[in-house]
Amino acid sequence: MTCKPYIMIFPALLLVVLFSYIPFILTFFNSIHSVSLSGERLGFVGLANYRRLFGNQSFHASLSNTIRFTLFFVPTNITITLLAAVLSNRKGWLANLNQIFFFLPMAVGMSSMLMIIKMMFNPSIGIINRLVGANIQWFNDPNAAMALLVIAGVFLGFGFDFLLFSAALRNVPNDLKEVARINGANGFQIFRHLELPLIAPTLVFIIVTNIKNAMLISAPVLILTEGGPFRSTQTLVYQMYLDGFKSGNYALGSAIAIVVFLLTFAALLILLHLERRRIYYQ
Amino acid sequence: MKRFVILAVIVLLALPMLFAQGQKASSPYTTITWWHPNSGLAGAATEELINSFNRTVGEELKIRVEAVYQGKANDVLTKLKPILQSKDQRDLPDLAQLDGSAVLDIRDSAQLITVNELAKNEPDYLSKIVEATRNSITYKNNILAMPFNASTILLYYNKDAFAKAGISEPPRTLDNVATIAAKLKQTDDKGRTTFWGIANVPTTYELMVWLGHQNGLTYLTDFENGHTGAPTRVLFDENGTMVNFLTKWQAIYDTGSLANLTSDLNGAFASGQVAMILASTSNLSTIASMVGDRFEVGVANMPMVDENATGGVNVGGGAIWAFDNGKNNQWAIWEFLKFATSAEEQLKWHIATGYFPVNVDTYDLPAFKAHLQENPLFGVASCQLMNSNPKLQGIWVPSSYQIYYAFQSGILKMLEEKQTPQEASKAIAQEINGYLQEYHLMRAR
Repeated sequence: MTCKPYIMIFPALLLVVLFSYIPFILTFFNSIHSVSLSGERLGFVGLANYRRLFGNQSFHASLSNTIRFTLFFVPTNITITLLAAVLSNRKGWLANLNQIFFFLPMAVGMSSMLMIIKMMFNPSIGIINRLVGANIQWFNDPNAAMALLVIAGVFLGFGFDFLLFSAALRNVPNDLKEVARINGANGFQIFRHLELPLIAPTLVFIIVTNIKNAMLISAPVLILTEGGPFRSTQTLVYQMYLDGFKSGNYALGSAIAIVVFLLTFAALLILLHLERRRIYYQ
Repeated sequence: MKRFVILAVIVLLALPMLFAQGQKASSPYTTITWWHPNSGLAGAATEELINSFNRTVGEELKIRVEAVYQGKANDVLTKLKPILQSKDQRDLPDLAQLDGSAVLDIRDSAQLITVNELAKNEPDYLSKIVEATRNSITYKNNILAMPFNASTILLYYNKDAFAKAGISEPPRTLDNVATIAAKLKQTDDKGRTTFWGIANVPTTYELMVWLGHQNGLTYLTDFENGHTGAPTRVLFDENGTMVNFLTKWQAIYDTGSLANLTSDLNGAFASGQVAMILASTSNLSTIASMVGDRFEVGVANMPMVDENATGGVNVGGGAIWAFDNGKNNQWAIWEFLKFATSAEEQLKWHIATGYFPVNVDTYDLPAFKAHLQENPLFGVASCQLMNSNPKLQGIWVPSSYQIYYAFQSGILKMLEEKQTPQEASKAIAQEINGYLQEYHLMRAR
């Protein structure tokens, strides 16, 4: 029965090859060919698609928006979820209730959630402007629109990341914390020198997935801002969608896809390299 | 275990029986499907139109029309495109209602049945369709689709604010807009603007008119805005229309009464933050209901760029496209299209939605005149169009999203980064030319 493991792995492998690897190779091929409106490859053009892409103003905007979004989103999201997880990591039914409320957003469909957020942030009839008592033009001011995307991103990612942090914090042995407390460590010191190193593997995992999600963000853009105002929220994947699917420019769309992949991959490689040197696994 | 596997296979094979298999051949009716984007008031009017057809002409000729709401016009296109690309024509609807952005994706499709083909036995019927609406969907002298929900752009203004500022007439030209907007603007004691004269960042929709109507008629791109071939370059930088427009627009901005809003303009207008906006005639009912009785809404012709800009406005909105799905329904499609664009049905559609009638006979109906008398605002749109050059048409360009943002960002950049109109015009032209050339790369062999 030496073939058993291969049989077991076959369904998963089939799916991955069919829906990830083959499309990836085709995308790469498309990106170095000129492709017709109906998706046929017309001829090999080498790096010409990339050269045009890098000269494209719209692409410059997408690139800088995606990087800006990642830089704003990842620290904000991790700070807020980690804070929530630390604060609700205690015994008692109130803490349990809090935990339930914190990961409840996970149970709402992304699109419906975004539609609700869109209503809430509507400048003239939305509840947010009424509550804060200001007339913030969420969809007309480029900075506010970017902030809105970050808020929506945190809201969407909150439940899952919170769950992971909570689970990791619970796994920190209680007797270690007690020892620390007896030795006179305060709450912050316990967190900084005991809990943080012990949850570091989870932290790295969350940073990695957050960067990936941020670099690939598209659904909130599509539903909330459609890239506006003035392309200030047009991200790389959203531009890929516009050029590739809305305009039928498969060659350019594929080139964007490859660029996004390389950027994300590079970011993750650097991070994983750092992780190997700095993180302690139990 | 073996029995379970066999059972599972049987269940899987039997499942498709639960899904509709299409119409049975024995039914005496020819069924045609119509994908449409009409919701709200227009959705109700669509239902009404179909019921009326199925009761009368449809019953007589044994035709049934089934309407399927498919989301916004853009969503209808998104759902249609993969079927056209898959070359499997059986899944095509007989009819799909789309807007101008669909032309480029569909006009070369082998499954498209043009209106000229449908009308080959009754070509005279086409003369009943308003010329400008026919032109709006004509490519290389071929009417691609049947005009149905036609609209134009209009100026909406806050009559109460105008009266308070002592202004009796809506602006005729952009120079007027600048003077009037400056008078309308209000600030609080800290100098912040609380009420804007006008809100807009011109993009494709506005510029088709503001560039197109200069000197009677000007094309934005070669190949007559893309109506006689795929455009290869823009013309607005060479013929100076863009510079002319941008100079006027800069003057409005310099009065400090222009808000660069791109989103929720209806809301800003209805909540009394801005005195003038530009929007489609089809927004009339919506805006009126949003405003309620807070103030009186006025509508007027789209302001002209200058006194020489006499071309008027182009027709926007949408048309109904017919497809060959192998069922040989052409005759039934044609009967329904004739019904939907008949004088009486277009009147009902006009009253329910605000889209103006595409049938010339509607304008002579006593009921139409009576309705106009009661609702003078509705008349502005059709009057504006009747006085326009029917050759003034929208642009059909690839990468329409990118071009939309190229216009907007280019104009904002001029206003905020103090570019000259010449620099801005050149930069916008350069960017858009890039997208037009991109399209030709996709066609070159």
